[in-house]
Amino acid sequence: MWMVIVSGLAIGALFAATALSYNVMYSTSKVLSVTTGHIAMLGGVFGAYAITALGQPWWLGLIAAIVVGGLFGWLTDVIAIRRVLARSDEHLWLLSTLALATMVQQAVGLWWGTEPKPFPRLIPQDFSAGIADQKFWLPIALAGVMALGLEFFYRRTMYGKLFLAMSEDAFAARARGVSTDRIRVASYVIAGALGGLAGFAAGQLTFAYFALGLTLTLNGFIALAVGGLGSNLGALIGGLTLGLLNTFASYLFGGEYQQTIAVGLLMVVLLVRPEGLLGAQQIRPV
Amino acid sequence: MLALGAAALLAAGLPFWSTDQYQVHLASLICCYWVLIAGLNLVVGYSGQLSIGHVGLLSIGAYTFAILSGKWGLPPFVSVGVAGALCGFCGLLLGLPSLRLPGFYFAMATMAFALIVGEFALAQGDLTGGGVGLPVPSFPAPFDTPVGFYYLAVLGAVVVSVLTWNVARQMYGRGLIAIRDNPVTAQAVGVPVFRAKLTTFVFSGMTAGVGGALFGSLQSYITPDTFHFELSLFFFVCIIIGGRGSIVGPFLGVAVLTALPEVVAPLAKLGNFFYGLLLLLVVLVVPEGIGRVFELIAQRLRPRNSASVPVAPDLPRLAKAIAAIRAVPGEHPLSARVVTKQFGAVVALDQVSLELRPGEIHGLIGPNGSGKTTLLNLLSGYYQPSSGAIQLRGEELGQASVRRRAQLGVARTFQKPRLLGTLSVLNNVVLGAWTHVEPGFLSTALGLPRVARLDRVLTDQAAELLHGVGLSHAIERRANLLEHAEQRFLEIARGLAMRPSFILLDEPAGGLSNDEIEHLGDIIRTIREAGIGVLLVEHHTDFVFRVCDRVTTLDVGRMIRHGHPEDVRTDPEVIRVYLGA
Repeated sequence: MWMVIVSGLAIGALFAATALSYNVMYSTSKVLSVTTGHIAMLGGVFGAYAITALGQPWWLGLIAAIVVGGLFGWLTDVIAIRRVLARSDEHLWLLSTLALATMVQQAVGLWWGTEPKPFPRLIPQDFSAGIADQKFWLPIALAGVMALGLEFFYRRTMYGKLFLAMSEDAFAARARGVSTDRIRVASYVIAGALGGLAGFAAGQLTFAYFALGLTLTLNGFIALAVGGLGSNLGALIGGLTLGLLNTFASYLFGGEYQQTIAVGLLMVVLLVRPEGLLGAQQIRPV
Repeated sequence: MLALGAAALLAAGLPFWSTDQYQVHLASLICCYWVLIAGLNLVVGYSGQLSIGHVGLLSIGAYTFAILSGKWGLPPFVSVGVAGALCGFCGLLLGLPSLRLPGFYFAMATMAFALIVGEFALAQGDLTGGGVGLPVPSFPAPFDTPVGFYYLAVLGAVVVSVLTWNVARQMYGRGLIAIRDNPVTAQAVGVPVFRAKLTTFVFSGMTAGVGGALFGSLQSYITPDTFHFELSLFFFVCIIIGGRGSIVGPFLGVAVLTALPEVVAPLAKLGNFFYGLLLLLVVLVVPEGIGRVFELIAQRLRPRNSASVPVAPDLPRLAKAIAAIRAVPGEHPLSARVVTKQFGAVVALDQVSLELRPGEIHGLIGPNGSGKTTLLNLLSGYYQPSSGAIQLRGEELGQASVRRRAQLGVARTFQKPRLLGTLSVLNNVVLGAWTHVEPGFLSTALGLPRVARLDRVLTDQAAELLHGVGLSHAIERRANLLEHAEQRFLEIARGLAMRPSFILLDEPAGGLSNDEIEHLGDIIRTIREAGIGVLLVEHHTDFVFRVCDRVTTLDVGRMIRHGHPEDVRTDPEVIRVYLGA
């Protein structure tokens, strides 16, 4: 039973981390990027590549994951967001990020292979560690640190306050002389780095697998929708709830209907409380 | 329609001039895909909802057909019907919670749905054969040969094309495009936004189910892997590349993209990378689809004379056009009684009363932020009052939707004109008559003569209105090519097409030249003579005092004076807060 809870929390932490990454990008651009899950996938794949294939120490793998994640976050902005936002058509960013996500997934599939490959051990530990296994605790710890770090960043640093200002009213922020384009790019790089880090930390749980991105994009979004768009605490709660629901459902009914249950949760929330647990009420459009 | 006929003829001849079995197979595949994509096109290309999980519906259609007619021995054509109905029902379940929310929610819900269907296909081994899969029976003679099946697929494709063509070309299609390009406008003219989105999506589910049955039969054996998620992306890319708001474009898209990887082998290997790249290029370079490129080239080749023509209303014609479509003018006023509107702690309107009578021009003036537009939004239903009542013909409207008010004859224009840029000027006006058709999806799709006739009548009436307001020269032009004054007059014409009892004009003179303001005044007076009540929110006070029968002045949410223009103009308080000495 403890195993079910701990593994649920671990996978939930990965969903939560993805949801946090969504939030960082959303705050400055009001865009929900389809590439969000793919960033974490890249973190896992490049971490495994650096450590296993290139034989580098774990900390270099970590750096590789963060750098690749940040780079891809930056690319997302340059390729799929920047030009599209200027045109202010609400559908286009969904299409452009979907296109970019597809290309990256296919490219990784061609280069890395379509089979999940094992992710190396980061800390020397016996494989019989059970619920104390690092593959559970690394993502859990990371999601906690990420949430606290973001909270600190938003509340205590000037840069973080600029993020908040932009998420409140980008137009007013620009009128006050904030370089909103620079802030947005920064947010994509930060979200990318965090996502890469999350993918790296959860690598032993998910394996280095090219198709992980789409699953995470979806589950991270469900976590976000359940917790409430824009709320970091909501992202944590939503992610952990979803993770626990997943593993308990597998434990009780078998693993065949994991996705169904996740989506069922999403549908119920959308029907009962469309703005999510901690989200703000939507304002009327006129 | 001609192109469609030619394409059908060409398709019918294919087996005669092509001896290659594989080409017939490929053409059949294109037709099967098209049955699904034609329906999806109404959702993605017209109503603008991004369903990226249609492969789930295709899969359900194929499995339903395989199970019903393969395992349980139902007649194949009955099974096709059941497959379509079941997928329509799935569309309903999926759309009901997600189509009310922003587009990304819907996109994610459909994507999740596709993943769930794959999961079920694997888990329900007894029914679907699990990972091993399931053989799919073929159709009975004469459709049991490749060529016979091909004709069946062509038939399906033609039927679906005609249905969607009918929808796209008539009032329903205009409404869908309004939902895509400008939901606020769609509401304002009375389009039931959510219901239209849902109906269209359910229809696309049905075509996906039928397409799935055909597709399954063509494949003759299906496994969960047949319906990989990337297929969804493929459907989607076909439509976006072909161009939104077109039927021919997406058809060419599916034909080319299905055949291309077969011809160019390296593309098949790159697969989704190629589709992703195409999608990205189209979105970044020509978001309106490849078809737009040809349009632009054509425009370049024979430049049309679109020199600016001053707007010159033809008032007698306008009066006749309005009289032709309006019933007897009503006698009841549209009234706001001691309404208050608060946003949080801010009181935008404080116990304001206003009575707008038929056949009267009522001016509403006041400094910026005094609550003029808020009052207009309350009257037209975009806001609900915090307290107080809004009444028309004894009916309490305070909580009634924008659509309901459009039905009751309350039309409005916007401070910044909200037009449908990709539609012609004429179609923009015809859309205004939505509530007088209340088009049904089914009757439109079936192309009932009654519906088509009504559409023609409304189009003629709309054209008359356009001649009346002085836009004769621009009737066929794309609305986003209009100049500012033309846009304003077009919005008024659209409001009049709603056959309103009251029309609320939000700063209609904003940005107009003096001559144009004169024309506007003439048009407004003509509207009054037709018995329509006009509410005029305006900053050009000379203009207001000249044309209005009564004037109300607001300041910081309070009414400070209302009455005859001359009395209001000389009121010391009005002069102090607004007019200046």
